[in-house]
Amino acid sequence: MTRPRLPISSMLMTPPLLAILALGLAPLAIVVIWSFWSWDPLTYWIKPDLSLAGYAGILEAGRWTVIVSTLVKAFATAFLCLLIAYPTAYAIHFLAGRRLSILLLALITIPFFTSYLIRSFSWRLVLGRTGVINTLLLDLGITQEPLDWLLFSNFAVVVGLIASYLPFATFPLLLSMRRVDPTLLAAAQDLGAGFWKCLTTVLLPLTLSGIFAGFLFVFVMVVGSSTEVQMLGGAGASIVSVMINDVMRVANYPLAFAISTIVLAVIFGLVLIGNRLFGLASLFEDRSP
Amino acid sequence: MAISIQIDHVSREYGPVKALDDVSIDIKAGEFFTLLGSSGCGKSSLLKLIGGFDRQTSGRVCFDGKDVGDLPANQRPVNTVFQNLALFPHMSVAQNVGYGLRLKGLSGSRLQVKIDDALDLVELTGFGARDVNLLSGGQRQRVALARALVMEPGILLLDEPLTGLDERLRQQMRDEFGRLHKRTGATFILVTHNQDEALSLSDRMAVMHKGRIEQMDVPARFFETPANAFVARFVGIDTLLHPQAVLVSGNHGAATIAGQTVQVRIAGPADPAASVVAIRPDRLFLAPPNTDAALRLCVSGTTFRGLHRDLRLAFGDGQTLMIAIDADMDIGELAIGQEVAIGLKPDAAVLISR
Amino acid sequence: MTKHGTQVSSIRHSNVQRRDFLKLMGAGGVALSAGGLGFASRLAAQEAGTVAFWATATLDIGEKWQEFARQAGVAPEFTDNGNDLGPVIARLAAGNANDLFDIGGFQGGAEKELARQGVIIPWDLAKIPNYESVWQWAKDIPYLKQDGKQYGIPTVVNADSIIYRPDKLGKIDSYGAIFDPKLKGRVAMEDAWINSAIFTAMYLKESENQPIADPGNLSESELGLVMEFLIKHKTDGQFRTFWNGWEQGVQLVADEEVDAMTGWEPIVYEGRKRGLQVEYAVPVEGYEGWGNNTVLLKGAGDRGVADAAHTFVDGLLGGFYGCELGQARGYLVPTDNNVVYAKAHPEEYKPEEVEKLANHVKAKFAGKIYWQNARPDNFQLYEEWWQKLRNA
Repeated sequence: MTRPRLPISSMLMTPPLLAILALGLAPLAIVVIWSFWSWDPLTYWIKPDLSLAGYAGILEAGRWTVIVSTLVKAFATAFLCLLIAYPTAYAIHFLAGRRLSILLLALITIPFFTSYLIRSFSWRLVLGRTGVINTLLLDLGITQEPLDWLLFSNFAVVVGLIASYLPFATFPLLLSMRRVDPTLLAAAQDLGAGFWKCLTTVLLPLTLSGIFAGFLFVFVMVVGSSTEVQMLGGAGASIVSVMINDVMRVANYPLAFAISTIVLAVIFGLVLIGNRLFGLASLFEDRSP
Repeated sequence: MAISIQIDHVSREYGPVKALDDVSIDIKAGEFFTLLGSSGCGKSSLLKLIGGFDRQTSGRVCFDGKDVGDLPANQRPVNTVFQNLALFPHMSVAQNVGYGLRLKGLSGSRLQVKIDDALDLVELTGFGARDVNLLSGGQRQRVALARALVMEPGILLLDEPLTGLDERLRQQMRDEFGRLHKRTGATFILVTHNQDEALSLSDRMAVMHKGRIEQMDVPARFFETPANAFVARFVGIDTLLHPQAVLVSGNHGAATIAGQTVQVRIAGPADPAASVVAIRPDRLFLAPPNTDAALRLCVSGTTFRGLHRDLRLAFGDGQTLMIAIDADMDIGELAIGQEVAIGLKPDAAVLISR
Repeated sequence: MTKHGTQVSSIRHSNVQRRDFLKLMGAGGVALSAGGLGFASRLAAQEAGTVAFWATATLDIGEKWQEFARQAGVAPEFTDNGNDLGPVIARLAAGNANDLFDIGGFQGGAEKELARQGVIIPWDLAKIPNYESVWQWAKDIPYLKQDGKQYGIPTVVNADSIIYRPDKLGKIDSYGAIFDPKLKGRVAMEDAWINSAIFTAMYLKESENQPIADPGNLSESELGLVMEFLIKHKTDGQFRTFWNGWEQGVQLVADEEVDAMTGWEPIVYEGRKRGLQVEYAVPVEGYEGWGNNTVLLKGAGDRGVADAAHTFVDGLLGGFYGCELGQARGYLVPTDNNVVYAKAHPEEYKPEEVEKLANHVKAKFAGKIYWQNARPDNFQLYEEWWQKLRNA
């Protein structure tokens, strides 16, 4: 339906648009602009002398490797979260009865009620030298020595990240599966599709927006995370947020802003690509006939 | 190739609820068979068992005599037109229609030819590239039909396929089903709650109620001899009178209703407490006042129906019967309480179980 | 001075909020927090009898400030400064912290830079009679005086070394244990250059005779030497992890993840509470002393509240504050007034406990001490090296 747009509607749209600009875009624009200024040792602040020093700083001291490894961690975590969340969402939506699905949903939601700090911390008690897993392995005689790499390693970090951010993948997937008419799956079956064909030709294509939304949510959360790395990583383990914190501590603002700008650019790029390829916006459309 | 279906003492229980209660049906190969009933009667449950989407609690489902209990839906020679059509929204018309064939390994021009033929069959020639989400209701219906028929199924299941269409389209699609049934020769099973659909299409039909089959027969028999009061009402025989006494002599007898005698065909128990007299409205007529063997009833109301008028007439004990008369029939003013004579054509009344 | 700072004048966030933001928002949080550097909505206390105290959160005694005000005659309005010296200095130099606060309570080391920038002004010791009672070694903290003027008053002091398990390692008396290949994977240090660099420098200077002048203020080449040494041990897998924060430190020891690590003494007490045999080492290389010093912000002088500020600091050294902080946190205010006060108020504070704490810390400072420096001259190089260490 297209109707001639009344001027009143654009007037009504103005205040929320301004609010979105002020709250969302303005701070981001400031970050980008300030990343090109220079640090002033006299004032400990920045001055508007155009400079690429912040960006040059990224190339020093292996800072760029932190950005890369953060993106790798974010990709890996998001991917693994999807691998776990998809069958979970499938089970909740298609297999479980009412009671069981409510129970499963509750189990997924509960982590939201504890802080990231406590959640990460509890993994230390599970993965540590005297933790649950090592104790079990020793008791069963599977290992003779506790496995050190379980904790304070990238393995531990990714486990912690998955545990923290799994719900962010599960809920968009559930949302997108709820929008899939179950008779479509019956129809595919009726036409000769087995389970996997049903999954790949009907369910997956129809939940792509949920898959990408889940991926993006987890990805962004991981890029912004620090607790899991600080709690579960090895000596001096880093991630973008930790690095920004380090840099802010010595008042090197242009560098902090430059790092932020790069990360923001990657995330915006992902959103744009995702929207183009997977129709992210369709997750929020009303598709009911 | 058309396939015959044997439903053999099948029950389907959900906890204490019996969706199907010891149902047995033999459907002949190539038959157009209709399951008729109101919602919750078990007709869709039965369809699911045939389609392979569910499993019976007891009994057997056989195709051409072979038990298919262990055959999953995707391996059965059955295709379904779903109530909501279930067209794949992320595929074009041609992709929808070709879906099952691609799974079978067809591709290229062989696939294309089959898709085109199927679209021709449902009169959607040239619609292949269209977005299914942008079609009209009737067109979507045809796509769903084509998608099922292109598989050349031995059995086609139609699950309330006409619900949601307007009256004109319903008529049109109903004719389409009949035509396609003849063209393909497959066994068609239609599930519906609409008796018009059932009567006009079916070779045979079954009326279901509370998980059981009340009657299974060719359509005409439902009017000649409804199995019981429920079936009679379901097919539109609303006049069901409680007799005071029944006299039986062979196939025929006489029932006494409010002191008046009605000649009946006997198709139910002679016990007046266990039977009713079903009277076909199309076999009643207004008789001249002093006709013998006519019922004498009092007018209790008239309703204008456009092409005809419904005349409601009461017996002395308050039971009523309905008779349709031509809207322009010149019978003068009929006052409420006025007595009229009603004649019965042969075989107008039948005694059936309650 | 404030022209950059006022550009985002409508946003205010304390540094604690800033850190939460960083965690929650990652990159995006920086934008908001940067705004927080410039402006605050609250105006500095102007009326007589109140001062705005901008200090490390652990110096806050909460509702006990009421009693403090009753005794000292000056009431503080406490604001947490987040304890990160970089942003603190930036807010003083380029932001409006001097419009908002009268007194700062900062980890020692930044006084030189703050004085150079002219954002703090000297104390007049004549107006702080209780300063007499401060122990001599605390008065000797190198950062307090600049150009002969008294810029810092030591408010809280302590000294840190190594937490270790004697049941596993025997007696340890050197930071060498931290770098001992025999303990590979069973030691930890803190995830902060401010402490870990100085510990390493102390070890290299004292036990390996490396040419290091001041472990708390390393030159470029000294820093390279120290950090290369750390990097080598890190890449060898020497460290189980670098710890962040109190709970993590305790857990590392309590759950036998490490047998020795540099850290705070309260971790030892917590470990013992959990039934572990834990000791705090007396290293031959000495302790890392640290002090949280109060400084007088220039704004206080401009607004004419300098006298009230002096009265306030005098109150901090008066005994009540030391007793309260000692009881609540085990922190020590370096004056005998604590014991005097506790003896006068035995129903509130146990004199023997107060004395025990005082003697314990005094004993540490009887030996060799290197002072923690929150803001070494090459502080940005420290950060750069720390990144190299992280990414090695």
